[in-house]
Amino acid sequence: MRRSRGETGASSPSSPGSAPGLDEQLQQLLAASARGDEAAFASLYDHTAARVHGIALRVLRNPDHAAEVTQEIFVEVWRTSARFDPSRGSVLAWICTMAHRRAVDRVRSVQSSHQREQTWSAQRGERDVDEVWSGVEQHVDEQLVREGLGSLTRIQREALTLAYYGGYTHTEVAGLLQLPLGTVKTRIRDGLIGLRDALGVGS
Amino acid sequence: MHVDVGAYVADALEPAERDAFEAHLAGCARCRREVAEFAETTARLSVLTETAPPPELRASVLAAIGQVRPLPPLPEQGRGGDVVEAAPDAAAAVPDDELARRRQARLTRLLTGLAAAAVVVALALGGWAVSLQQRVAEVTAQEQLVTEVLTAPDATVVPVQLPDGSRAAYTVSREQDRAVFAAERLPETEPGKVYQLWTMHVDETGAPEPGTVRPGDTFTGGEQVRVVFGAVRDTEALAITVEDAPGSQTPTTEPFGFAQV
Repeated sequence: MRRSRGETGASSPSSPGSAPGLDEQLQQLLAASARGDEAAFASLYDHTAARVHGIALRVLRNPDHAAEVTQEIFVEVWRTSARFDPSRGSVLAWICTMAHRRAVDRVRSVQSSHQREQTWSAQRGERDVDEVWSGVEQHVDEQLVREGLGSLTRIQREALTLAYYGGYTHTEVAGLLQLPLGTVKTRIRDGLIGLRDALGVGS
Repeated sequence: MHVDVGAYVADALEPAERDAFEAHLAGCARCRREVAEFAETTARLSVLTETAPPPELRASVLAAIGQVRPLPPLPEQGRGGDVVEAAPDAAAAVPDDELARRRQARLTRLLTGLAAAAVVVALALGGWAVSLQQRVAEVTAQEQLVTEVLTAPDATVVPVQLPDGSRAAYTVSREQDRAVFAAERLPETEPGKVYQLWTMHVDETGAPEPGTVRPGDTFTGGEQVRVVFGAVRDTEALAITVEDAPGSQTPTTEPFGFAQV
């Protein structure tokens, strides 16, 4: 998987998340899946399963739940493959969006926020960020994302990573970081704007 | 309302806010564009958490889709509809699918339960899942204990680098009052020597506080080391030294694998 900063698919405002060639390939696999091609779907799974499972595992922190959610997402990708619209964004973003929402909905239904806050407060400082930043496979894209996160202010980074990787609501993030209620939404948006620009996502 | 767009894409809105924002989105092209851009951005974030699923999941998924017919395209497809539809669609479950899904979920649970330990370690240590999985067959009481710690709801994984550059990690569960030290390899000690774990408190700079360093369990080196330690509930940091067997009351050699937990 080769990616580089600012390399954007000229026609779509939202395809630079992955190298243009890769997303084209994923689109073809998805289109074939929509026609019932299980081999194409298996290949799509091979390309994207680690992303989906990683999101689910990160948010849910429970291997059984993460595997279940991963399976649910891929069955859903298969079921709705004909509904994907490339003019709206990349295949990867479509799948990751689905995966993250499902994982978050699941974690909120199985785990009380009280319990989760205790887990967080037992840790310290930027643990969540550090944990994410270390011990993962080396990867060009990974480096760019790290640099992008590094370019944010500390509060933007904390708010965004707690929301995205931690699966917390903005209200919970405000409690965890002791920030005024209502300010976290702005931090998350500012963080996403900074990261979007650092990664060259957008028109 | 516009300010909610980031929290919406990060799935950080409260349920009522999410509904309200989706209603807003239908009539706001600017927010729709931002949602699309942010969705690409958060998809990039997922590169940092990439973790291969248990190998058995692939067959399970492929078996499951054999029982599900892909939906036909929407009639209005291709005219640039509403961005939000992609995700909510995922929540809509047809009853028949739901039953199949539950059956499949049970099967998945059975299959993946075995891989549980492997996956948690993989969070911090990349490619270990596979090698751990090969060993799953030889489940011993010790490994059972390791699994319990690794899958504890409050488990915290702290990766460390060993002096030879190889990777290791402590996984600490305060609820269980246990920690697991896992290393891909740890050189065998000289005869008559053992590795020993130390627990300690740290000062505000993160340095060990003298007088708080307490001896922990001893262990030996090898490949794929997994050691379970107890009495870690109050510790703030962990470190390892080489000591004379059967262990020492105070560290006498240079510590390594220091980590704040």
